[in-house]
Amino acid sequence: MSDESLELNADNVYKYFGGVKALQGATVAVRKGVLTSLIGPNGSGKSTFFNVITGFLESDGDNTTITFRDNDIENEQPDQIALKGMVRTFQHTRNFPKLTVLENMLISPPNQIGEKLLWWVFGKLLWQKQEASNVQKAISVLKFLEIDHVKDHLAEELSGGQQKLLAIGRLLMAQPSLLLLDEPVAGVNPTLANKIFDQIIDLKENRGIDIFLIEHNMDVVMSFSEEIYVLADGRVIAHGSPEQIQKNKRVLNAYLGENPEEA
Amino acid sequence: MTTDDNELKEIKKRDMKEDLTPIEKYRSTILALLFGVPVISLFLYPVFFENAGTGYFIDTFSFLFIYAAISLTLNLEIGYLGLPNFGKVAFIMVGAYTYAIVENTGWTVLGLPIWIMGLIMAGIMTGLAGVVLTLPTLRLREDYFAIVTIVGGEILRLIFNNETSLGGFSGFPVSNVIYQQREVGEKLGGVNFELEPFIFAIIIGIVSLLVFQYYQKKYAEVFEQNSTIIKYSLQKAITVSIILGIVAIYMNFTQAMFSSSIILDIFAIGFPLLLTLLKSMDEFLNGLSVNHVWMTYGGSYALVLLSFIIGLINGRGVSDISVVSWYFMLVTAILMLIIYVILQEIYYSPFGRTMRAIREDDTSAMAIGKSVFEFRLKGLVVSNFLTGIIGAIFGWLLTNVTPQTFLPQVTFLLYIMVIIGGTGNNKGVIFGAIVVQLLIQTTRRLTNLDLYYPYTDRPIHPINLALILTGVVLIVFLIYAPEGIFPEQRKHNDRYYEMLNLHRTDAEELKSNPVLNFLVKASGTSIDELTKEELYE
Repeated sequence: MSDESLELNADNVYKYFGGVKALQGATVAVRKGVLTSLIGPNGSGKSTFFNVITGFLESDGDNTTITFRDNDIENEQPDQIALKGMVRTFQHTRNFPKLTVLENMLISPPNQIGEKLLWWVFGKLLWQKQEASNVQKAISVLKFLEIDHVKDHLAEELSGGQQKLLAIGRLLMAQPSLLLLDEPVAGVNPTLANKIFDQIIDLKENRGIDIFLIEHNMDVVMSFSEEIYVLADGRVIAHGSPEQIQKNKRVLNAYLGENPEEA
Repeated sequence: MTTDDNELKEIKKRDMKEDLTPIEKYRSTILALLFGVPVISLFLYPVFFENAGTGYFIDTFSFLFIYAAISLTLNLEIGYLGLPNFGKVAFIMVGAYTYAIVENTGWTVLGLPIWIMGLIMAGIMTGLAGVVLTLPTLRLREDYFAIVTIVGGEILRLIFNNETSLGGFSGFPVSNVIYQQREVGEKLGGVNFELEPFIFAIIIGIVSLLVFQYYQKKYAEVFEQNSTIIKYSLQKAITVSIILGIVAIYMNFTQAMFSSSIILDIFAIGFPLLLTLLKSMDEFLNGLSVNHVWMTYGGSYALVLLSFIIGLINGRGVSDISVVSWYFMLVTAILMLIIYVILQEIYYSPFGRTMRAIREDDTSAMAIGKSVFEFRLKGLVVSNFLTGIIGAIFGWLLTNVTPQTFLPQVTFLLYIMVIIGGTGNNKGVIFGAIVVQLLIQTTRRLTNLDLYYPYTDRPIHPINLALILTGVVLIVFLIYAPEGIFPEQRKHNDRYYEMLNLHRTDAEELKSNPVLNFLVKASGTSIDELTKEELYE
């Protein structure tokens, strides 16, 4: 399955929690430059799918293959996967609450010299330069997300919407090539939700960062996505363009229940 | 967005401390006075009114500084990393025992003095002990980690207690290097370490600082620099003066102890020179011209160097044992200061920042590409390496290393110090150590106190009273001030902005600097990586 245009390819992902079959052979492929969404009713296994592909959970399947840019990432630790360029957000925003917004951003850059065990012995001599350029970058990312006025506050002091933006900002600092966004606008008012999505689209269009997202807000999904996968009971029941998905009977059934008259 | 703006205004008000009541505003000061004053006056009472010997005064402080130093390293584990290491006392024990074993076997390499060898080995062995104990446990949840460390520490203590080849119940004797030094000094005919050069160095350092502050301001006008440069330079100058003051003492040590050893003398002179070089290079890289650096610091260095050379020539013999105890107290104080400086450096470095992030949310740190395991391991190794060295010096103070000294309650006392002082705040931790240690040391001396357990005629033993009081203080703090007397100062973005201001040098200038090129290559990166700026504008 070596395909140049594929960013992420997950084949036959299985996950069982005891007797509960959360994922039963879900297969998803994210193509480069195509904003892909994963939707499905509650409990269909969307977040579990994210957890498996980012290494937080192990896949239970025998013939599962998960590749990111032709690298096999099935058995890798979450931090190694993140360093390869695939980073994620969580459904409940997880910033570092007791760190300032700027420090939250400065955690992300990979390969920081100052993080190496012995190099702080030389004081700031070696890492100060890199740090300064990271600070500069962090401030410009915060400006891009329009939350640079709160950079001196602790992350826990921000409003819900600003926290969501900060979570995206932290991912951008990690030099990603694929963002996995788990409900980036859940619990956010429609105006701010549209703003967040405008910025997500801007990232895709102008920075060449690919987006794969889980979202419940159907208006947003249908207007912004280019390809949609529908997950129900741990299986992909449909995938295609928003128009195709809207017409698909199985999708309607999964969301609204079977129509007894048709059946 | 209006709601956000309103929220922000609220937050800003809180930050500016406009709406705070006086109690909230001066919280730390009030708490510090409330607990500090009674304890310190209790401690000073026998000194002034009962003519207690100087030994009482000195030993209390030696213990205090050692406990403060250890609680600082504990702060790295619980405050920075969020790892509840309840086996801390075991690591102190490994350090003290390693030193004792090295001293008793007399094993050394490269002709190093045995006490230096002992300190190095104590650090290494304790660091390794940290790896051995934590490798299998580090992936556990925090509460299980606490259980395993407390049990592991106790098992280790029982092994030392029962294994006769490891000293058994009676442990190992340790000689205090500083007391030893007195005899060596007498033999050498009076060359000995002196308090005077240190004080002299500090005084001259301060005077020269005042002079340079004046020059800094003058230069700031000339170069139209802002005040950050002055502040930054001042910090650097103070650091260098203190380091040189310490070196002054160290040189007197080496003079007295190894008057024949040229290598150590070279080290003693080379060390401050190296530091000077590094610091001025730092300035140079920050975009100041070399002339400017040497004009401002060169004089300072010269004066301080001169001061301790004078002190050196001035050295006289010391015969009174209590004076030597004073030196030991000084050594422990310097030890604590060094540990403090190291831990502060770590706190503000990217290394410390990532540790704090892992404390906040390890899953999120992992999702952004940080190996939580690696950082926890590194943090524990650093912390335990320092603990081992402190443990070895603790052995000097004890003069006999026995398993009974390292009971689990030592760990709990250290935790009380950290919690009362302020978890995550190094200054607070030192203050907590002072309060708790003085509280215990003074209370246990109150032998003529007529106190009885409620409803009985049994008197309360002062040692028990000390423990009861500490427990009460801890409970009061956990209920009313769980963040401690000095809560962690979390908002320090100014540091980053200063760094940004100081780094406007362009990449070409850096590339033409061969020394930096070498250092950067040694650290495994390239100049391009250091200087590249990706902007989102």
